[in-house]
Amino acid sequence: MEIRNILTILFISAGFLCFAASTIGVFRMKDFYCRSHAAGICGSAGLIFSGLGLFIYEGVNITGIKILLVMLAVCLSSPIGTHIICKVAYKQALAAEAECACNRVEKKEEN
Amino acid sequence: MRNKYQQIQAHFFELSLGLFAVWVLLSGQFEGKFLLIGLCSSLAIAYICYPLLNITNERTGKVYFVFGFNFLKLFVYFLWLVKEIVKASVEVACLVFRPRMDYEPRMAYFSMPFENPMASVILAFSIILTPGTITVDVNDDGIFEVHALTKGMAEGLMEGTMQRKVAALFGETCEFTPMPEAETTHIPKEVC
Repeated sequence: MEIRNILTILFISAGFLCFAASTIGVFRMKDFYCRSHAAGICGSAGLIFSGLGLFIYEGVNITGIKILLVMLAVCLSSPIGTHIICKVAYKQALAAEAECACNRVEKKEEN
Repeated sequence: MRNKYQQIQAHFFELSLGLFAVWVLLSGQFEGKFLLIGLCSSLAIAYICYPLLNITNERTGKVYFVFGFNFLKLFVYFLWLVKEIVKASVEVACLVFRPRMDYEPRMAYFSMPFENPMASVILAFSIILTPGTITVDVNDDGIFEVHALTKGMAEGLMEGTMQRKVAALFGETCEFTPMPEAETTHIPKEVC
Protein backbone atom coordinates (compact mmCIF):
# COMPACT_ATOMS: atom_id res chain seq x y z
CA MET A 1 0.00 0.00 0.00
CA GLU A 2 2.82 2.37 0.94
CA ILE A 3 4.80 1.65 -2.22
CA ARG A 4 1.71 2.17 -4.33
CA ASN A 5 1.07 5.61 -2.79
CA ILE A 6 4.70 6.64 -3.28
CA LEU A 7 4.60 5.54 -6.94
CA THR A 8 1.34 7.43 -7.45
CA ILE A 9 2.81 10.60 -5.97
CA LEU A 10 5.94 10.29 -8.14
CA PHE A 11 4.04 9.71 -11.37
CA ILE A 12 1.47 12.46 -10.79
CA SER A 13 4.23 14.95 -9.82
CA ALA A 14 6.03 14.08 -13.06
CA GLY A 15 2.77 14.68 -14.91
CA PHE A 16 2.36 18.06 -13.22
CA LEU A 17 5.94 19.00 -14.17
CA CYS A 18 5.15 18.13 -17.80
CA PHE A 19 1.98 20.23 -17.72
CA ALA A 20 3.90 23.14 -16.17
CA ALA A 21 6.65 22.86 -18.81
CA SER A 22 4.13 22.85 -21.61
CA THR A 23 2.22 25.85 -20.24
CA ILE A 24 5.40 27.89 -19.73
CA GLY A 25 6.63 26.80 -23.14
CA VAL A 26 3.45 27.96 -24.85
CA PHE A 27 4.08 31.42 -23.43
CA ARG A 28 7.84 31.56 -24.00
CA MET A 29 8.34 30.09 -27.47
CA LYS A 30 8.67 32.49 -30.36
CA ASP A 31 6.38 31.37 -33.16
CA PHE A 32 3.31 29.28 -33.83
CA TYR A 33 4.97 25.94 -34.64
CA CYS A 34 7.31 26.08 -31.64
CA ARG A 35 4.35 26.80 -29.40
CA SER A 36 2.53 23.78 -30.73
CA HIS A 37 5.65 21.70 -29.95
CA ALA A 38 5.44 22.92 -26.36
CA ALA A 39 1.70 22.19 -26.24
CA GLY A 40 2.43 18.68 -27.48
CA ILE A 41 4.20 17.77 -24.22
CA CYS A 42 1.00 17.92 -22.20
CA GLY A 43 -0.88 15.90 -24.79
CA SER A 44 1.56 13.02 -24.69
CA ALA A 45 3.96 12.86 -21.75
CA GLY A 46 1.82 14.72 -19.20
CA LEU A 47 -1.18 12.56 -19.99
CA ILE A 48 0.84 9.33 -19.91
CA PHE A 49 2.43 10.16 -16.54
CA SER A 50 -0.71 11.34 -14.77
CA GLY A 51 -2.81 8.55 -16.28
CA LEU A 52 -0.29 5.93 -15.15
CA GLY A 53 -0.28 7.49 -11.67
CA LEU A 54 -4.07 7.27 -11.46
CA PHE A 55 -3.99 3.71 -12.82
CA ILE A 56 -1.48 2.63 -10.17
CA TYR A 57 -3.56 4.26 -7.44
CA GLU A 58 -6.73 2.57 -8.66
CA GLY A 59 -5.26 -0.89 -9.35
CA VAL A 60 -6.38 -3.37 -11.99
CA ASN A 61 -10.16 -3.12 -11.86
CA ILE A 62 -12.88 -1.64 -14.06
CA THR A 63 -12.10 1.97 -13.10
CA GLY A 64 -8.39 1.48 -13.78
CA ILE A 65 -9.04 0.00 -17.22
CA LYS A 66 -11.40 2.88 -17.97
CA ILE A 67 -8.55 5.29 -17.14
CA LEU A 68 -6.34 3.41 -19.62
CA LEU A 69 -9.10 3.71 -22.25
CA VAL A 70 -9.30 7.47 -21.64
CA MET A 71 -5.51 7.68 -22.11
CA LEU A 72 -5.80 5.76 -25.38
CA ALA A 73 -8.62 8.00 -26.63
CA VAL A 74 -6.72 11.21 -25.90
CA CYS A 75 -3.50 9.76 -27.38
CA LEU A 76 -5.47 9.04 -30.56
CA SER A 77 -7.26 12.36 -30.80
CA SER A 78 -4.73 15.01 -29.72
CA PRO A 79 -2.21 14.41 -32.59
CA ILE A 80 -5.03 14.84 -35.13
CA GLY A 81 -5.81 18.30 -33.79
CA THR A 82 -2.14 19.33 -33.74
CA HIS A 83 -1.61 18.01 -37.28
CA ILE A 84 -4.65 19.76 -38.76
CA ILE A 85 -3.89 23.11 -37.12
CA CYS A 86 -0.24 22.98 -38.29
CA LYS A 87 -1.21 21.86 -41.80
CA VAL A 88 -3.69 24.70 -42.21
CA ALA A 89 -1.16 27.21 -40.85
CA TYR A 90 1.51 25.90 -43.23
CA LYS A 91 -0.76 26.07 -46.28
CA GLN A 92 -1.98 29.53 -45.33
CA ALA A 93 1.59 30.72 -44.81
CA LEU A 94 2.55 29.31 -48.20
CA ALA A 95 -0.42 31.05 -49.81
CA ALA A 96 0.50 34.30 -48.09
CA GLU A 97 4.13 33.95 -49.24
CA ALA A 98 3.04 33.26 -52.81
CA GLU A 99 0.75 36.30 -52.72
CA CYS A 100 3.56 38.47 -51.39
CA ALA A 101 5.85 37.21 -54.14
CA CYS A 102 3.19 37.98 -56.77
CA ASN A 103 2.69 41.46 -55.37
CA ARG A 104 6.44 42.09 -55.41
CA VAL A 105 6.66 41.01 -59.05
CA GLU A 106 3.71 43.21 -59.98
CA LYS A 107 5.23 46.19 -58.20
CA LYS A 108 8.54 45.67 -59.98
CA GLU A 109 6.74 45.53 -63.31
CA GLU A 110 4.87 48.72 -62.49
CA ASN A 111 8.14 50.46 -61.63
CA MET B 1 -13.10 -14.46 -54.68
CA ARG B 2 -14.07 -16.87 -51.95
CA ASN B 3 -10.88 -16.12 -50.09
CA LYS B 4 -11.73 -12.40 -50.12
CA TYR B 5 -15.20 -13.15 -48.75
CA GLN B 6 -13.71 -15.18 -45.90
CA GLN B 7 -11.34 -12.33 -45.13
CA ILE B 8 -14.23 -9.86 -44.94
CA GLN B 9 -16.04 -12.22 -42.58
CA ALA B 10 -12.96 -12.50 -40.36
CA HIS B 11 -12.52 -8.70 -40.23
CA PHE B 12 -16.22 -8.24 -39.41
CA PHE B 13 -15.97 -10.80 -36.61
CA GLU B 14 -12.84 -9.14 -35.16
CA LEU B 15 -14.44 -5.70 -35.26
CA SER B 16 -17.65 -6.79 -33.50
CA LEU B 17 -15.65 -8.76 -30.92
CA GLY B 18 -13.58 -5.67 -30.13
CA LEU B 19 -16.67 -3.50 -29.80
CA PHE B 20 -18.31 -6.10 -27.56
CA ALA B 21 -15.21 -6.22 -25.33
CA VAL B 22 -15.33 -2.42 -24.95
CA TRP B 23 -19.05 -2.66 -24.11
CA VAL B 24 -18.43 -5.23 -21.37
CA LEU B 25 -15.52 -3.18 -19.96
CA LEU B 26 -17.50 0.03 -19.84
CA SER B 27 -20.76 -1.39 -18.51
CA GLY B 28 -19.20 -3.74 -15.95
CA GLN B 29 -22.37 -5.83 -15.71
CA PHE B 30 -22.51 -9.48 -16.64
CA GLU B 31 -26.27 -10.19 -16.68
CA GLY B 32 -27.69 -11.91 -19.73
CA LYS B 33 -29.94 -9.01 -20.74
CA PHE B 34 -27.11 -6.46 -20.88
CA LEU B 35 -24.78 -8.85 -22.69
CA LEU B 36 -27.48 -9.52 -25.31
CA ILE B 37 -28.09 -5.81 -25.87
CA GLY B 38 -24.34 -5.27 -26.16
CA LEU B 39 -23.93 -8.09 -28.65
CA CYS B 40 -26.78 -6.82 -30.85
CA SER B 41 -25.55 -3.23 -30.83
CA SER B 42 -21.93 -4.19 -31.51
CA LEU B 43 -23.01 -6.33 -34.47
CA ALA B 44 -25.14 -3.46 -35.81
CA ILE B 45 -22.32 -0.91 -35.37
CA ALA B 46 -19.83 -3.25 -37.04
CA TYR B 47 -22.25 -3.73 -39.97
CA ILE B 48 -22.70 0.03 -40.41
CA CYS B 49 -19.05 0.99 -39.90
CA TYR B 50 -17.30 -1.79 -41.80
CA PRO B 51 -17.45 -0.09 -45.25
CA LEU B 52 -16.02 3.10 -43.71
CA LEU B 53 -13.03 1.24 -42.28
CA ASN B 54 -11.62 0.17 -45.66
CA ILE B 55 -9.11 2.65 -47.08
CA THR B 56 -7.65 2.57 -50.57
CA ASN B 57 -4.09 3.33 -51.55
CA GLU B 58 -4.21 6.30 -53.93
CA ARG B 59 -1.30 5.03 -56.05
CA THR B 60 -2.07 1.35 -56.51
CA GLY B 61 -5.82 1.30 -55.83
CA LYS B 62 -5.52 -1.62 -53.38
CA VAL B 63 -8.00 -1.73 -50.48
CA TYR B 64 -6.76 -2.21 -46.92
CA PHE B 65 -8.65 -2.87 -43.70
CA VAL B 66 -7.81 -0.29 -41.03
CA PHE B 67 -7.22 -2.71 -38.14
CA GLY B 68 -5.50 -5.33 -40.26
CA PHE B 69 -2.26 -5.47 -38.28
CA ASN B 70 -0.81 -7.44 -35.42
CA PHE B 71 -1.95 -5.88 -32.13
CA LEU B 72 0.75 -7.60 -30.06
CA LYS B 73 3.47 -6.09 -32.27
CA LEU B 74 1.69 -2.72 -32.03
CA PHE B 75 1.75 -2.97 -28.22
CA VAL B 76 5.52 -3.67 -28.22
CA TYR B 77 6.00 -0.73 -30.60
CA PHE B 78 3.86 1.47 -28.33
CA LEU B 79 6.05 0.63 -25.31
CA TRP B 80 9.14 1.67 -27.32
CA LEU B 81 7.29 4.83 -28.38
CA VAL B 82 6.49 5.73 -24.75
CA LYS B 83 10.20 5.49 -23.93
CA GLU B 84 10.98 7.84 -26.83
CA ILE B 85 8.19 10.23 -25.77
CA VAL B 86 9.58 10.44 -22.24
CA LYS B 87 13.13 11.07 -23.50
CA ALA B 88 12.03 13.76 -25.97
CA SER B 89 9.73 15.51 -23.52
CA VAL B 90 12.49 15.71 -20.92
CA GLU B 91 14.62 17.35 -23.64
CA VAL B 92 11.92 19.89 -24.58
CA ALA B 93 11.10 20.60 -20.92
CA CYS B 94 14.79 21.31 -20.18
CA LEU B 95 14.80 23.67 -23.15
CA VAL B 96 11.71 25.49 -21.87
CA PHE B 97 13.03 25.97 -18.33
CA ARG B 98 16.41 27.33 -19.50
CA PRO B 99 16.77 31.12 -19.05
CA ARG B 100 18.15 31.61 -22.59
CA MET B 101 16.31 29.33 -24.98
CA ASP B 102 18.51 28.46 -27.95
CA TYR B 103 16.66 26.47 -30.57
CA GLU B 104 16.54 26.65 -34.33
CA PRO B 105 13.25 25.34 -35.71
CA ARG B 106 13.57 23.78 -39.13
CA MET B 107 11.69 21.69 -41.66
CA ALA B 108 12.90 18.16 -42.41
CA TYR B 109 11.77 16.06 -45.34
CA PHE B 110 11.97 12.35 -45.93
CA SER B 111 10.36 9.88 -48.28
CA MET B 112 8.78 6.65 -47.03
CA PRO B 113 6.31 5.32 -49.63
CA PHE B 114 4.27 2.78 -47.64
CA GLU B 115 1.91 0.43 -49.47
CA ASN B 116 -0.57 0.41 -46.58
CA PRO B 117 -2.03 3.89 -45.85
CA MET B 118 -2.47 2.88 -42.18
CA ALA B 119 1.32 2.59 -41.88
CA SER B 120 1.79 6.22 -42.87
CA VAL B 121 -0.98 7.18 -40.44
CA ILE B 122 0.78 5.37 -37.58
CA LEU B 123 4.15 6.89 -38.51
CA ALA B 124 2.64 10.40 -38.64
CA PHE B 125 0.91 9.77 -35.29
CA SER B 126 4.09 8.66 -33.60
CA ILE B 127 6.06 11.59 -35.01
CA ILE B 128 3.47 14.03 -33.62
CA LEU B 129 3.24 12.21 -30.26
CA THR B 130 6.99 12.63 -29.79
CA PRO B 131 7.43 16.19 -28.48
CA GLY B 132 9.72 18.30 -30.66
CA THR B 133 8.59 16.97 -34.03
CA ILE B 134 5.31 17.61 -35.85
CA THR B 135 4.22 16.08 -39.15
CA VAL B 136 2.97 19.03 -41.15
CA ASP B 137 1.98 17.17 -44.30
CA VAL B 138 2.08 13.75 -45.94
CA ASN B 139 1.89 13.58 -49.73
CA ASP B 140 0.29 10.79 -51.74
CA ASP B 141 3.83 9.86 -52.87
CA GLY B 142 4.82 9.20 -49.26
CA ILE B 143 6.86 12.35 -48.69
CA PHE B 144 6.66 13.47 -45.06
CA GLU B 145 7.18 17.13 -44.20
CA VAL B 146 8.23 17.37 -40.55
CA HIS B 147 8.75 20.47 -38.44
CA ALA B 148 11.50 19.90 -35.87
CA LEU B 149 12.29 22.12 -32.90
CA THR B 150 16.06 21.68 -32.76
CA LYS B 151 18.79 20.36 -35.01
CA GLY B 152 19.33 17.30 -32.80
CA MET B 153 15.68 16.29 -33.03
CA ALA B 154 15.67 16.56 -36.84
CA GLU B 155 18.83 14.45 -37.01
CA GLY B 156 17.38 11.89 -34.59
CA LEU B 157 14.35 11.53 -36.83
CA MET B 158 16.51 11.25 -39.93
CA GLU B 159 18.33 8.22 -38.54
CA GLY B 160 15.18 6.33 -39.49
CA THR B 161 14.79 4.06 -36.44
CA MET B 162 11.10 4.86 -36.02
CA GLN B 163 10.41 4.49 -39.77
CA ARG B 164 12.03 1.05 -39.87
CA LYS B 165 10.09 -0.08 -36.80
CA VAL B 166 6.79 0.97 -38.40
CA ALA B 167 7.79 -0.80 -41.64
CA ALA B 168 8.53 -3.97 -39.65
CA LEU B 169 5.18 -3.63 -37.88
CA PHE B 170 3.32 -3.77 -41.20
CA GLY B 171 5.72 -6.10 -43.00
CA GLU B 172 6.52 -3.43 -45.60
CA THR B 173 9.71 -3.41 -47.62
CA CYS B 174 9.89 0.21 -48.78
CA GLU B 175 13.08 2.23 -48.60
CA PHE B 176 13.63 5.08 -46.17
CA THR B 177 15.34 7.99 -47.92
CA PRO B 178 16.09 11.25 -46.13
CA MET B 179 15.82 14.25 -48.44
CA PRO B 180 18.32 17.08 -48.02
CA GLU B 181 17.14 20.67 -48.41
CA ALA B 182 18.38 20.97 -51.98
CA GLU B 183 16.27 18.10 -53.29
CA THR B 184 13.01 19.33 -51.80
CA THR B 185 12.39 22.21 -54.19
CA HIS B 186 10.65 19.93 -56.70
CA ILE B 187 7.92 18.88 -54.25
CA PRO B 188 4.70 20.34 -55.64
CA LYS B 189 3.23 22.71 -53.08
CA GLU B 190 -0.50 23.26 -53.26
CA VAL B 191 -1.29 26.90 -52.87
CA CYS B 192 -4.89 27.48 -51.91
